[in-house]
Amino acid sequence: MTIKKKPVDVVVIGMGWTGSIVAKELLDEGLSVVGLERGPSRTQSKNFDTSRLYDELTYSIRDRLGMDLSRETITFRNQINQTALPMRQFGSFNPSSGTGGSGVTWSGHTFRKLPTDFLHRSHIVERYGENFIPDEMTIQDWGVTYEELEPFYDRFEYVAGISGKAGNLKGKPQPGGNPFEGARSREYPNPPLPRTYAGELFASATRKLGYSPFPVPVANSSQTYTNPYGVKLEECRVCGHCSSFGCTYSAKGSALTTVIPAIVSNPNFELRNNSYVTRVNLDSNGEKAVGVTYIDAAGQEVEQPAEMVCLAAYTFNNVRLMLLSGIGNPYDPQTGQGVVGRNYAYQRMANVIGFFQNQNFNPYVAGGGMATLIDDFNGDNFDHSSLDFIGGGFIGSFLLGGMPISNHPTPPDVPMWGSKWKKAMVESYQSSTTLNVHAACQSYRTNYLDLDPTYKDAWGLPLLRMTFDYGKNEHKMSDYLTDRAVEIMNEMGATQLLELRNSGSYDIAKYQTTHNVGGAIMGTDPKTSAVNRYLQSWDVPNLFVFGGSAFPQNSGYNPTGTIGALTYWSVDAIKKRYLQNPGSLV
Amino acid sequence: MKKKVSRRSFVQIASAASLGVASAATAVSANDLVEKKVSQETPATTNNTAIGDIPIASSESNSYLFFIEPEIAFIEAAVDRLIPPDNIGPGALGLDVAYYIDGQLESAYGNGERMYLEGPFGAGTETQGYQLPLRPSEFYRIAIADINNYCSSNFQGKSFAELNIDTQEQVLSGLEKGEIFLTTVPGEVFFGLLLQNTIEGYFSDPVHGGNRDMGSWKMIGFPGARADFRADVGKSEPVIYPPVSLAKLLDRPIALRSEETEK
Repeated sequence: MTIKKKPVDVVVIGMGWTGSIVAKELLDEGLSVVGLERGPSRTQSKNFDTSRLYDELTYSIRDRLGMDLSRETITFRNQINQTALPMRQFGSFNPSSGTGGSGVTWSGHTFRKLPTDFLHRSHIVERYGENFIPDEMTIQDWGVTYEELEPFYDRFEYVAGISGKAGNLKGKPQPGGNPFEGARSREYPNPPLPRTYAGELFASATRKLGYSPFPVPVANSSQTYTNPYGVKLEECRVCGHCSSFGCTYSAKGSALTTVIPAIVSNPNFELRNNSYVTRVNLDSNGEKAVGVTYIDAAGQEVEQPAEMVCLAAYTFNNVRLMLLSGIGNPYDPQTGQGVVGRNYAYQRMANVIGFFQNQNFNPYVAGGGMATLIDDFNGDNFDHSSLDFIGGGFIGSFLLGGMPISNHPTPPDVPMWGSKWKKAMVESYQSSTTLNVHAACQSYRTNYLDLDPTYKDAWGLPLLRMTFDYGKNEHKMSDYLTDRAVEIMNEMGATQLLELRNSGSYDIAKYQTTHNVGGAIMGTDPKTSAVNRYLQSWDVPNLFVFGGSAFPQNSGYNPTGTIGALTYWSVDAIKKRYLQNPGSLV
Repeated sequence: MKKKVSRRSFVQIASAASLGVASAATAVSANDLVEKKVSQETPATTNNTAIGDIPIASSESNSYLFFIEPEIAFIEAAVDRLIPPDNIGPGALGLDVAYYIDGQLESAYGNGERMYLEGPFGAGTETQGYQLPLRPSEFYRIAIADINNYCSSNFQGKSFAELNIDTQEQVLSGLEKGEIFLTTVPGEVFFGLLLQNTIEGYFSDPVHGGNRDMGSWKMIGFPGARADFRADVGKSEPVIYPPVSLAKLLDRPIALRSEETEK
């Protein structure tokens, strides 16, 4: 027997960054909102909701806050002619579940994309010609410009309490910031975090090579800060436990620390944890969402009617719920027709580890937020005309903390165990440091998401199937950037290098990053996008789809800053236009 | 619709959980804090004077919960080869890594909690990740038997632990490189798991049963559960603080398990 709940104005699926922002902004309009979160309740009063702090094994290695793969995972193959198999444990990426979502466990790097990133295809055609884009590459413009998004980037940065240094204030270059960034209306809300010793070496080396180092914009608050919602962040203690952890000190901006405290006590809001949405329900014409169906913690089926449905889950579940609910045409890689599942993309990562003589980097004196980087090889900041690839990325000195199970590098040609390993590992622990090459991933005709024909979740519904591999373009681009990182590391004085280039086919078992994007992409043409430029479904106008799923391809930046900006951009249109006159916004 | 949890299955879960707690107490008995609190015996009262003495429950392997012989001999020899004691610092066996792995295999992790273990099972490609139908505890049991069979066939009936150190290293190296073919399971996949778990037990907080007295942290200079390095950012000289275990933060005598199921 299905339990039927009282209708509400808005039902939000997923209580991470996007879901909590949507809930807050629509509650402020006086609407009633129910939030459905598949994972458990998590709280943050003074501390994160556990007394078990700084436990690398539990959080970082076993992914305690990660989604429960025994109930729900994805299947994966590199090529269409292979059989997809389930991701049985975490490897390449590890989305979280529970209140706050992956926004609890993120490292906090909060970038804006370059103005040209949003005009990706048209910019490349204009500068290099149509033939510069390989046939199989399905890159496209976003349908929104940097200038349109600027106020909403600003809004997200002030809500999340980002620490950073502007490089371009209203068109005026600012020393110490990123000279390549688009114009900002004002400074970051908090000054940048101090520079690590490795960051100092990186900064001098890159300046000497003619590049422009700047501090990473990050959600670790560099001072006590109260955001526009009246929620307070503490000053980052530099404890080195950011990625995969909740913040012990309420110093890392996350949905849990900056937005959810402002909505939980609102009488018009109800958060239901352990609620696993199985479909969006449509009216008989399939043109209007009438609510959602979910399985509650006790295994009962529940129907929640609503005037408006906001899909705000992780990329995978946004796409999967559209497919399970029959919203939009599923993408077919053979014909190139259909839109839901189209243009899944990722992030092309590589690392260069430098081993030094007589240096001490103190790797635990760090955190997710402490990084110095260069943008000279990101996007189209460098001339590609003599290169045979599109795109780029940043190169940076990132110290994520010295937790030793995952951070104990050894030089190449050292065995992986035994006394020789131990000697090299002990020598290198303090005297090695890493440069990250964090780069773009273009979209392709054969990289897509659909429903798996074989494997099911714990409730008997098909898992999402990922078909994905890097193109030649990604390998050439990454190698070009990694060569630059090698030059920088040599300039920093390393005596030995370990280059981790991730050559070959994409490997789902090897951790890279939790930046999965696309599949429900935004755009101006319903034939090539699943949602319009306001993240509104072309087919079901009272359904909005928020998150990385909207990216038509991925550029060289961490996605969350843009995810936040797009959410505020969409919500602004909902508040100013949609609520007065529900219907298509374009 | 999800199947309702019966009372019977809940009882089973409860007893598994209490086993886990017992293993934690055993595994961290080296910890100062634990020793002090455990040794506080309750004095007998006149109302429950003992009537005599009968044998207490015991087994041949009182230190282990999951492993039995000859698995115990294997795991102790194997972790000692992977991270041997030497003049650089302690070895894995000396830091209780064999106990750590034993505790992990007896816990939710060993039983595959949070792994997707539905079939069908296919071999897949290298890039598709782990595809065996085995939980970690099953994998260890089968692989150790396989390795001992391999050793017995190739080295005059000897088990892995009975081989000399050089030969043990050759066997581990053959497994690592995929050059030794075991009867049931792929040797290089098991080697990867064994090495990963050994490194975990060597470097994780002592509350998980390994890294006795924070031996590996002292060796490399990792400070453990210290929380505020603001004054040290940017320093190029060594920033060394004596390490701190989570056990110091917990106001109770037993260590927390790593895999308490989150409901």
